Amino acid sequence: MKSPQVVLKEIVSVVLAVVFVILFSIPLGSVPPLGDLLNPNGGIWTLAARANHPVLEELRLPGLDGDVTVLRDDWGVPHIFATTNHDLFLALGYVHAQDRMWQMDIQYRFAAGRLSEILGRKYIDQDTFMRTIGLQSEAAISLATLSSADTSLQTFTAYAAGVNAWISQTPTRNLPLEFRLLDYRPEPWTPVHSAAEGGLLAFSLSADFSDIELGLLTDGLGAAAVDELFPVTSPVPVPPIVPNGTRGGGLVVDPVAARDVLAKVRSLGPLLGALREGAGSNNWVVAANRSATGRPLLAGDPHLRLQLPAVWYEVHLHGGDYDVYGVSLPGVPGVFIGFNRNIAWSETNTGADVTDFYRETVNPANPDQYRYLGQWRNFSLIPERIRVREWPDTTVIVKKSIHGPLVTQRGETLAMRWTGNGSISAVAANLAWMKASSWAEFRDALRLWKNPAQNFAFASWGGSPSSSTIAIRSNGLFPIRNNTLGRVPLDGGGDFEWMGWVPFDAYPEAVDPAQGYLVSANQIPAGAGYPYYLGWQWDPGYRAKLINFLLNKTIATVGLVSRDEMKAIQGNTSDAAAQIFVPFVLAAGCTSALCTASEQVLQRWDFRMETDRSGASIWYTFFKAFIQDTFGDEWARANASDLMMPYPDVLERLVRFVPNSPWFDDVRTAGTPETRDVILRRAMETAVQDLATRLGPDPSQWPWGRIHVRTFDHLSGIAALSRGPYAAEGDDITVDPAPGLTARGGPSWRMVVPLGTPENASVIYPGGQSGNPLSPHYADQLPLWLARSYRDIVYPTAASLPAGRLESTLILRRA
Amino acid sequence: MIASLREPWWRSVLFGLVLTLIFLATGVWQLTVVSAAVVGFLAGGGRKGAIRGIQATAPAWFLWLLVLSVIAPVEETLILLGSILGAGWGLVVVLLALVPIVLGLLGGMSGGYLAEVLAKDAPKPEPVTAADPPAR
Repeated sequence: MKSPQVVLKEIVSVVLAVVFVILFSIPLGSVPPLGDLLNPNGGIWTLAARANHPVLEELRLPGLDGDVTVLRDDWGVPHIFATTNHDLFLALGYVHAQDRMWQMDIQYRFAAGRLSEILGRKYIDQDTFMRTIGLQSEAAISLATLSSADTSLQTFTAYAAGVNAWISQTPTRNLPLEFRLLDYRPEPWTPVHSAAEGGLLAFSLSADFSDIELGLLTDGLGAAAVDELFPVTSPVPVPPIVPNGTRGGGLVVDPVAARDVLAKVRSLGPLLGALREGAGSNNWVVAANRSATGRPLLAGDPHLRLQLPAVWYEVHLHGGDYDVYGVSLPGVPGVFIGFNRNIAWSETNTGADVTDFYRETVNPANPDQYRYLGQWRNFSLIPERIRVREWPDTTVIVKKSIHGPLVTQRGETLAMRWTGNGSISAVAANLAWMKASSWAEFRDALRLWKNPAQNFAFASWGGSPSSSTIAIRSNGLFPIRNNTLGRVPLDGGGDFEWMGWVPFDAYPEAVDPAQGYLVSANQIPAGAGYPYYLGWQWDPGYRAKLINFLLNKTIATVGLVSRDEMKAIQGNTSDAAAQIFVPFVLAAGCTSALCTASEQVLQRWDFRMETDRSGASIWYTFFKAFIQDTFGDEWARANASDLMMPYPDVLERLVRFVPNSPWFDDVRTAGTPETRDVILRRAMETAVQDLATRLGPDPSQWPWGRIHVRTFDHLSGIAALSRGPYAAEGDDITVDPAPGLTARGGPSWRMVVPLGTPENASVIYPGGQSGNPLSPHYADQLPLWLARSYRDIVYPTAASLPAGRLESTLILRRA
Repeated sequence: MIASLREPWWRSVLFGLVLTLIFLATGVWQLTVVSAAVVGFLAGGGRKGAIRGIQATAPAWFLWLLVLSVIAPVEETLILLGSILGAGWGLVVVLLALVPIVLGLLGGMSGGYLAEVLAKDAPKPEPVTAADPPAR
């Protein structure tokens, strides 16, 4: 008989072995399964093994019409050569998935309100709000209306097949890092996934909650103040065309309801910010007769969130009806900004007012009813089941009135009406304009583009200057309202409804102007006399004015605009507002030696927000203090300190023309009202004291780059996958923008295209093609982008790349 | 066969290493514990089995990574994972060592003690008496 002690030891060691095998196989809290993560064959090390695409790879994919060749160049940009449109978009889905699958998945989950499934219960509220907005449900409804012969649906389906081919071929151990860390697999991709992601882009660019803020400000400051400080047109206040639709007697908006909506929007966090932050943009076109190449030039730089993986994925699609190059959105088929052999286009956000909020009167006897046109109507009640990781599922009821989903029922009931739902129209338009060869065709494609409203800059080359075109057009659905501009929440009883849309042929548009160039930088689309209200949140116009000035000056002095000049303008850091405000600051004088020394630096400053300019630090810090000193007291009194403040152009008007404006008076002090110069001096003192505390006593040693940086956060928020901070040029209103002291927004893609020879286009974007942090293409374009340099592209007409530029070849064959 | 794997001692370790590599190659890292158990069993005792188990598993894991590092940036992965976990690459190395060592240790002990449990009792030596003739 064995010693019981030995038997006990055997039992204990076997049990412990089993326990540890289990412990190493399951996630422990936020730590992924250690054995799966660290085992040498299939653990995280596969990331390293898959950092590069194989030099030559041949795969069989189901559903292909024929063979497809994907050549990746030395920047990891795929050049896809197919014989049919179907194969082209199937292959696009495949390469998107190869390089960006996790980004596609997480952005989709955010849009669909499905983050809780992988991130747990702390995302339930966020998911509930996104389900309420309904990007996924609207996408599904819109797709259901399409016939199987519809080109959009066919494209979505082909694209999804490509994504799914990659998913099914990829074992768990070869999935991107983020899937491994979060311990889940991507689900099969469908057209709804793509449409919901497209909806997210539309939502981030055009769903606008400023009505809520203006409502609160109207209640706190009065309607007249709001009309003065947030005018419909810049810079001179314009009285409203028709009265705002306020409900008689009470507040414009219930503060509890308003704060609830704003809190929900602000809590959406970096994934929405991924697209929204820095959502300005520039584009301009120069006509052939003003171009140094003798052919039109087009420049575009959409300003979006600076993130990793980057917002965009660069691609060349060749085959079927297409031979197009530019940037696509991972998860969505198509090239949104780019060029083909004949045309080039780029977009800036129009910023039109396409969102309204309606105060629904709920039946006191039945909370599922609201009053509309004098009658009680039932809300639509849509149950949404939210699956939650390691937590019971939650079911929420999304309520909708005739105006849209109820975004709050706290304090009062607010419904949101927005033009964005059903954004699959964007893909239909995109598919049409990618193959356009003339302005007429491109413009016709824009008929399909509903949301987000964009300013499309366009240039074409038809073989001679006379057959070339430059154009800009603000395009999208613009609602026409009854009895209101819809700048604040409206009564939902039926008096302030959308009556229709601005006619397509009435959209603001300019074609081949005599000046030889056209510019958009989010400024007001149409001048005085335009018969329709489009919105009011236009960019103050400093960028637009500067670009116009620089182009005009170049044409006047040199005669022609070169590609290098176009690039230089994209990288321009002159602060046009500083040029206007600084003389007033200097004239107002100082009350301290530090201020005097600082003003001497300001006097020598060239108004450029470059990293080595101390004047830039002084100006920026001063201006933030000046806005605060001018309006902060009134905002605090109105309990509105967290709400938006007037744009700089409004302040410019006050400084230049109304030095004794009551807005300069500090309402917290008694006695003689403060005037402009008092506040200018006060803000200057505040600014220089602040800078001295942070940077030392010598104002000449306060270079902008010491306090102003750019960061490139990874979508997961993991610092190790992020880049930066880097000392950064630019500010909120420079052509090369970097808003805030820690800028997370900026040019997400810089492109200069010489029409006629598009293979000579220069491009760059902040990031790289691959989502794999160990890939050489994870952030390889970042250094060039930071230096405001560009890459030369390759744009082959056949399936071969120049010597030295081919990195890998992928051949997809029909299974 | 079993006897030939037992002696000299490194034969059983080598056998365990090969077994571990085979299990890793098939993608089932959990079976590392089995190769350690086999080696532990061959060692014939719990304590000795624990040591042999570790010798048969951990080097295989590291060897695999060493070979992989020739063709892929394994060290960058190490640094990256260390940054993600927030404690640097040293923690990753510790964890990387910990997993096969724990599996080897417990597997080896299990095998070793099993061998002890299954071992037949050795016959007691007969007492030497004066009647026995002296050996020639």
